[in-house]
Amino acid sequence: MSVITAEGLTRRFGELTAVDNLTFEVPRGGVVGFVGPNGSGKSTTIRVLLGLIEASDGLGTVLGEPITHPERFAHRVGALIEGPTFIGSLTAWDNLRSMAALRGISERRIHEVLDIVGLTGREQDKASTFSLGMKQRLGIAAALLPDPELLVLDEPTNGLDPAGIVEIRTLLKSLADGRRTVVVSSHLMSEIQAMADDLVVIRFGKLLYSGSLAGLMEDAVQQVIAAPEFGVDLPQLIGAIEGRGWSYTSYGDTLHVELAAANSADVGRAANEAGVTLRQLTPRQDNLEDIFLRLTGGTDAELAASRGEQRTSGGAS
Amino acid sequence: MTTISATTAAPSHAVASSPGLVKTIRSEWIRVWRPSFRYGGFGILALFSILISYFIYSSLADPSAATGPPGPAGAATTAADLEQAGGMIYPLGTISTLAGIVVLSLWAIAAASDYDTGLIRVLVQAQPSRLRLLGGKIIALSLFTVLLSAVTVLVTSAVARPLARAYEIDTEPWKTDAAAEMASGFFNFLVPVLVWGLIGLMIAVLTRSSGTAIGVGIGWLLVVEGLIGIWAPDITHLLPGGTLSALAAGGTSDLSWASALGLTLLYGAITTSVSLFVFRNRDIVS
Repeated sequence: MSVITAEGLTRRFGELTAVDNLTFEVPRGGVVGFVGPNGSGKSTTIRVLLGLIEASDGLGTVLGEPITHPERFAHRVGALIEGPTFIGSLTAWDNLRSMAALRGISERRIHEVLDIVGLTGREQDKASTFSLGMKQRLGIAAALLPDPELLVLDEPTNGLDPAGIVEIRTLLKSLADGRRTVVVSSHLMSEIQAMADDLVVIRFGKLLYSGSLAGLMEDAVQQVIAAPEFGVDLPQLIGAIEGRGWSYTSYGDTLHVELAAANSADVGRAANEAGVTLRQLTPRQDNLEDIFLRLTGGTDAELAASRGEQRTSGGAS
Repeated sequence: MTTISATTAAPSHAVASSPGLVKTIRSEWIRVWRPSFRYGGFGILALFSILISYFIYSSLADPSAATGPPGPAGAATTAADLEQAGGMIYPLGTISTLAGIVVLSLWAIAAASDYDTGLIRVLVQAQPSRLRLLGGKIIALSLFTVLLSAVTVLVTSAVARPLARAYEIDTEPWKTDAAAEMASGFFNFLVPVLVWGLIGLMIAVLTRSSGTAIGVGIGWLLVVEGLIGIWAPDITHLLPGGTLSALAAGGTSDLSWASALGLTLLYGAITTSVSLFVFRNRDIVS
């Protein structure tokens, strides 16, 4: 059973379509990455799904209940939307107590969630004295109060240092058990690749991919990067590679040969037979970011420019 | 690096069975009872009570000269005004306008800071019934305002006797129907102040900014109503500031107590309805 379904979900703000006919499903259990660059519509989609803003069109369900009735699933969902939000002059305990009171949850649970996020002992400190990482953890603690089946975290690693990112990643992976699904939105592809089991990828509000991370990574291109020690040897190296029928892309004096990592030795051997000494021989596999760029066909700036050109030509015709 | 761990045990927390509105009131009360509200609200109103009382007693007008500090009804205060039943809390009428500004600001901050901080997103996700959410806030802020008003009345009463001794005011009439006078004084102080709070809440819900809400509220009271008074003096007493002041003063020559109360309740109903309607129907995009 899916914990989230969206069918033609659309949200328009005037002439801007922030969420554009999204159709996807989020399976139960595990970490689901909700990926897209800044401004791609991730937060708007989350707000629509959680009932903070209304959809202009389309249908959606959360935990089997329609998103038009968030009161039916709110008690089973915890969320951290666009960063942690607290009253700085209140202690961590009072901030959580306020959220627990709103949900009708006993104070005993506050101890449990503080323990889960590693803030036991800091509960009497004012939230304003917390570092960003601690605030993120406090925000996750608040989202965990109802012991939710679905935990939705919008950019939970934003602004964190590398150690903080690892902490949050470890925590989120441990929270996603068979009963609980953790949906993490992020524009950091490497972060999502490191923790997600499934992905929903969007850009400019449109769906690019929905499915398992492993399924998407099957399309990852494997390459061997080779560069001659001296630039003058490049033609011999190209000749040796072309002679073996291997595809390649040239970047200056560096060649990206489309071969599996296991074939690195073959490239080295071919260069040697052509009398070329290599200064670089590196196996490389596409990461999520590469695949994402391949899916979209360019960077944000390129796509934004092309969209602008389309609008201009559309207006002129 | 801090060690963090997750438990995967079944839910162990007990979910209380309180009605939704009670939960929102409890939740809101914890936030309202924060140090800045407690110390700021009670401290400022206590200070105003003392300073305004002192100002009124120390500047009493000579009845024949008709000069001196304006009383609640706008006329100069005389010793005769104080030497009557209820004279002990006579300054409340003047304190009411300043208390109204303080309460308007507190209510506006309480409502708008949810937008400023983004807390509104978490609150609405946890409690999707927005009417219940805002209703809980209004009730919690009302309870806080009742306490503020009670402290203001108590401080005003407490400083009245020493000031009366110092300025030779006869306090014998204060013993007449003292409890009833205190109760009516408290009521006439509380109701306008509550409506000031509702006005602050409405502007905050509309503008989603505490600074703007406070600016608009105070600007209306101090500037706009004054300008309207120049152009159309006949209707000044019917505007919110004039009406609430009239009720706080126990009625004026322009507006009787009953009319002031009716109009005040009407303003309260309008501002509450606008706040609830807007809050319920507007997207949470902050």
